[in-house]
Amino acid sequence: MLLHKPVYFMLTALLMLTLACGGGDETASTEGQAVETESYFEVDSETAATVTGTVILEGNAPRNPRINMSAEPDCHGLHTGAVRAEVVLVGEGGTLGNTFVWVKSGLEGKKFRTPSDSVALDQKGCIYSPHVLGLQTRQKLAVSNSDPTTHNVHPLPKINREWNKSQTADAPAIERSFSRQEIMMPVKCNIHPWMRSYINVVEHPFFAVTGADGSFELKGLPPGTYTIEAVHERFKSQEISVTIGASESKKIDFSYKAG
Amino acid sequence: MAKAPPMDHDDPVQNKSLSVPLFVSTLVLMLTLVWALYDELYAMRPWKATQQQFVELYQSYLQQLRPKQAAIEQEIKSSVEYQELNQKVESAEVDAAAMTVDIEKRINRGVNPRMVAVRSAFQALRGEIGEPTYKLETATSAGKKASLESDIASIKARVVSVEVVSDDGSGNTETLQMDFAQLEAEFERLRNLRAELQAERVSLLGPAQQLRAKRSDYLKERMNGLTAQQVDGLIGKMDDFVVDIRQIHLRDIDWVDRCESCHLGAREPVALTAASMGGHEVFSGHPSRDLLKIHDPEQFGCSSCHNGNGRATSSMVKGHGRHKYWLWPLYHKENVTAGCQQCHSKEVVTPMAETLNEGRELFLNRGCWGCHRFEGFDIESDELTEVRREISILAAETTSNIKESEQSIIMGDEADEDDVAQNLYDRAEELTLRNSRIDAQIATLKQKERNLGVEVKKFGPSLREMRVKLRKEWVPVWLSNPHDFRPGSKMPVFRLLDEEVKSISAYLWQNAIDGDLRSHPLGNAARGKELFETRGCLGCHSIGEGEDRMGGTFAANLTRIGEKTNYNYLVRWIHDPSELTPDPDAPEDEVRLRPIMPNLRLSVAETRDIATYLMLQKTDTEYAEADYMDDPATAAKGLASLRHYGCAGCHEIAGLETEGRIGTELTLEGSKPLDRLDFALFTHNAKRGGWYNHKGFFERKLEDPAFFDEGKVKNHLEKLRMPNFNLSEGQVTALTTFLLGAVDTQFPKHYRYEPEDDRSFVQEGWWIIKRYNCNGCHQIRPGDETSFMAIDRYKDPDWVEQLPPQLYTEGARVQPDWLLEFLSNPALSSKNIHRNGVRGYLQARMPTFYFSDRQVGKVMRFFMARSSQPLPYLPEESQPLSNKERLMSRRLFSGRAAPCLKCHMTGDPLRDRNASAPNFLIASKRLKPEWTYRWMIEPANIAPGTAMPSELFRYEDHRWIFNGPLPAAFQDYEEDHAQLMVRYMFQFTAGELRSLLASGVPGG
Repeated sequence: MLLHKPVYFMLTALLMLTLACGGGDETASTEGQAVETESYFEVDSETAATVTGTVILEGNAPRNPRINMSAEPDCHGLHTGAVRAEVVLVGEGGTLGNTFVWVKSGLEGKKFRTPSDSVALDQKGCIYSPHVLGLQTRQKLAVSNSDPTTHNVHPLPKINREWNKSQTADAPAIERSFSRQEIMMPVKCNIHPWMRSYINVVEHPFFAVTGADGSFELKGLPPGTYTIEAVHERFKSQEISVTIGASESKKIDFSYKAG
Repeated sequence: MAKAPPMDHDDPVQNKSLSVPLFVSTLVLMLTLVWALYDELYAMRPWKATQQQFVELYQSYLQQLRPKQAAIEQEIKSSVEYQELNQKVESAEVDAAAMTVDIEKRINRGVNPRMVAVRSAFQALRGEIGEPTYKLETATSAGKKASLESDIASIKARVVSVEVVSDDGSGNTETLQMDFAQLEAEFERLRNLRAELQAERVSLLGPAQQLRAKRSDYLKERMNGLTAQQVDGLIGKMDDFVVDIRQIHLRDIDWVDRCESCHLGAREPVALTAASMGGHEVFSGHPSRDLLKIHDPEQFGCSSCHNGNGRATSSMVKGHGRHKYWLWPLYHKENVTAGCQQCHSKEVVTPMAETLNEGRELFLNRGCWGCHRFEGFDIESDELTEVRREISILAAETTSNIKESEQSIIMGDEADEDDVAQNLYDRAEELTLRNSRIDAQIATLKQKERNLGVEVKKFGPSLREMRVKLRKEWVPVWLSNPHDFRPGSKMPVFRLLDEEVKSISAYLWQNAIDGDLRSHPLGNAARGKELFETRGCLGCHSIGEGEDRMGGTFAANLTRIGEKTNYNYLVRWIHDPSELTPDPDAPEDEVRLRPIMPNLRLSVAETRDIATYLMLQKTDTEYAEADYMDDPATAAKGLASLRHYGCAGCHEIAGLETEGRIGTELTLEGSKPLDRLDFALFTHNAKRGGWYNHKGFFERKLEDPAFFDEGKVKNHLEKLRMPNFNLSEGQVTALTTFLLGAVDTQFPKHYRYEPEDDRSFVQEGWWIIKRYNCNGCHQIRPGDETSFMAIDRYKDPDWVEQLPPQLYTEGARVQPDWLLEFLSNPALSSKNIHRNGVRGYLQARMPTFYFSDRQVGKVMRFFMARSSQPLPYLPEESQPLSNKERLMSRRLFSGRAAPCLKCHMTGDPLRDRNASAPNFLIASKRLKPEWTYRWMIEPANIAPGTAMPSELFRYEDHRWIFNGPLPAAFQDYEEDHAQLMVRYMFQFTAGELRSLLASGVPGG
């Protein structure tokens, strides 16, 4: 069967028409999305747990090196008797002080509020006090000079930004903070080379420095599994893994061997 | 009615319809049209869809970004400083408005309307004068002229009255009675008055304007990224986005790049990452804005650096040129810096091209140039050849001149005519004088030749010393596989047959110089270890393997040194590496090359300690007897093998002094036609596997130089000779990058980086810095890691000050003449040489390098040019201190608040035990005052991590004042304290130092 010619004509025309009218443009628009606000992790005081413990040094503690300040009358005069570096601080029963104990892992992804108070580091008798300290990232460190002489405060970070500032006697405290987590960052004074302190910057509030009694307490921890690390400037670091349930209190002990 | 003609039943016109074919062909035609249009609009233009996608993704990203940036902006704006500034701006604006309101009123209501009125009266009169003036100019009779002149005069004298407002802006009116000249003067007066008033207004608005600029600078400096307003601008720009080809056209070389038709995010002000653009890498921003600042794409294009086909837009494969019809495929990400080499071919260090730099450094410090010529590498031997050629040409000219001169005299003597004789004598004299000029030229070239003689160095050690240096049995063991004995050694592994090892060992042994070494008693190994680890050996050498390895990779790892050498040689070598065994058979003019290893100016005792320690570095490996090494017949076969493997490319070998390089020249290897790279049996494999390109060839060859021998039937001597360097994957990438970039550039000279100013000193200097490994001890560019910095000991807080000094701004710090002296003699003394001239407190010692005078000059100019220091340096006279100033600076300098002499050396060994800074006595000869001033104000900006504390001074009342309790003498001092200290330092004398020490300054 043959179709009538007009039909073909019309078909052809239709084809052309379809072609002529191309697809229209479409413009896309996207809605603005909500901004992520920074949210801090809040520890639920109902379920907060505690880790306590003691750091022990087995064996005879090595003798700390003697500091010779005789060339510095300003420093020398502030002491009576021999001064020794505070490297290995032991208490009765071999408890080990100046050990930094902190939650090394288990808190990833949680952001903690920065405390508003500052942590003090004093220079007294040409010795840093305390010898080891901990603070949170962005928390203020206030370095004061109680000596009648000029010091320069020179932290030697590996990750954070280095600075070195001179501080004369009676000068106001130097206030600085550190932005990145860093353990055992040495601080020295170039004028009095024996002066040494260690700053520990942690992203969360769960850390402690042992006193001569070797004890530490990490409280207010959310229940979970953590790696707790004990770090000492002289001895190799130790790690203990611990799981704590809600409101639980666990005791872990670190033990170093002398010599 | 006429009857229709009879129908022919076979007439196709009559009984066949063409409708079907017509329909079908129309349909085909239409489909073709559709296809053509589709192809034209979409298939051939994939970038259209890409652009639409970009707009969508970018807009949604900007929408997300906006509130974040707004928050940052808000935070800055709510800061106390900003608020203060803002308040100042606002109050200044109010003040300015109050002060300018009167001026505005005066201008608008007084001066301007008055000017209009005066001008119209003035112009009316001027018009009236115009007519008689024209007539006067064209008049011919004197009478007429006189009458016209009087007409003009009378118009000029006519007084008109003009109603005007007062110019004080009060709005009062007055009537002026003025003639033409008065009107003109009044108009001028008003115009000047208006200009004055406007200037006054501008100056009153100034403070507010300045504060506004300060406020916006404050925001700009603290704002990380764009402000909300700027983000809005970008969103708006996307709303108006037009889908179109984006093209860069470089007119001078007719270069066209359309890369940004797809890579739309490349230059967006927001740094886009693939992650922020829905994972589409095509939209990420250019990773280095700094690079684009120097190489603006509008001037340099894209494919000029990246390769690929910049014109192609029909598909990604075509645009990137990764198909067999395009000769310059886009560089892969890991090789992207290859693109720098074509224009930066004169350099060994190009900022921001680290992979390329690593490749060049490997080429330099793995000795590739021993076998392969590469323009720029080993430039000294090329220069030496050229200098010697020039000398011989000039010498020949001298000889011929002498001959001709003698000839002329003889001819003159015998000439018939006097004037002919005279001419010949003149000629003879001219030639003699010409020779005197040539002699001077030759003397200069000989000087250069001597310099070059010091500079030319082979890559490897001289093998003529091996008889006194090496343990005989060790030689064949080493030759058969150097990397077995010393992993990572620079000596590559040759594929030698056992008999080749034997004959080569025998030849070398029998042709080395035999001599006696001075015999030394053993030293103290423990002390030697300490010295080895601290004197500076580890800047270049390493010791220990695997995890225990420490030190640099520039020179040999000495873990098993005790197995290969002997003690007496080691003492001689460490004490003075330039000392050579005398060769009784050597020709008189023989030039023996100096080693790279510098002289550490150690005492003999120290040297013995170190050598004793090093001789203990060995394993208990047993070595087989090697008697064949004394057999002349075995040795005779060795020479051919040494030639075959090109050993003389890297080593000095007797009998092979004139041997050339055996490898192919690589200067333009990256643009060598592919069919000239021998893929051997792998050609088809490579084409199928997509690695039939330069990258594929280089990578395989470098990874395993024997790769392309596989499957080939060859006898031993036909096999590929390139030895195996056991390169790491990263090293292969770096070298491949370098070779890919080694092309015959298509760009004209003005595109290439071939500076003729001071920057060329930097280019030149880097070659020496890298060749002598200055970087092993010193940081020269920010981010440099020296060998020392990686050693545990130097990470200890007690040792950080023991690191050799950073040289980031050395040229700005020191005076050029001093630097020349220091580089030639780092002890800064001809008698007391076992010390550092500047930093006596450093255990590490700045060694004496075997530099030519030319090289010393180049190193000096390098540092000066890097710090933009002009040469010659003309020191400024330091303004003498008044007695009062001297007293003041002395008080401050030695006071408790700024105990300078506690860290700076004094020359008193007891005091200097804890020193960590140079002695002030050398300051005036060594330092530049301008640098010293900046150093005192903020040392951390010049040498990060320095022991010198920051903030010793604070800026107050337009000057720097000491940041601490001041001695009473400073009470009325108005000058800059840091400047005063600089002057004190530059006028510091030994007497001053003595009296300071005697008076018991802190630390005494």
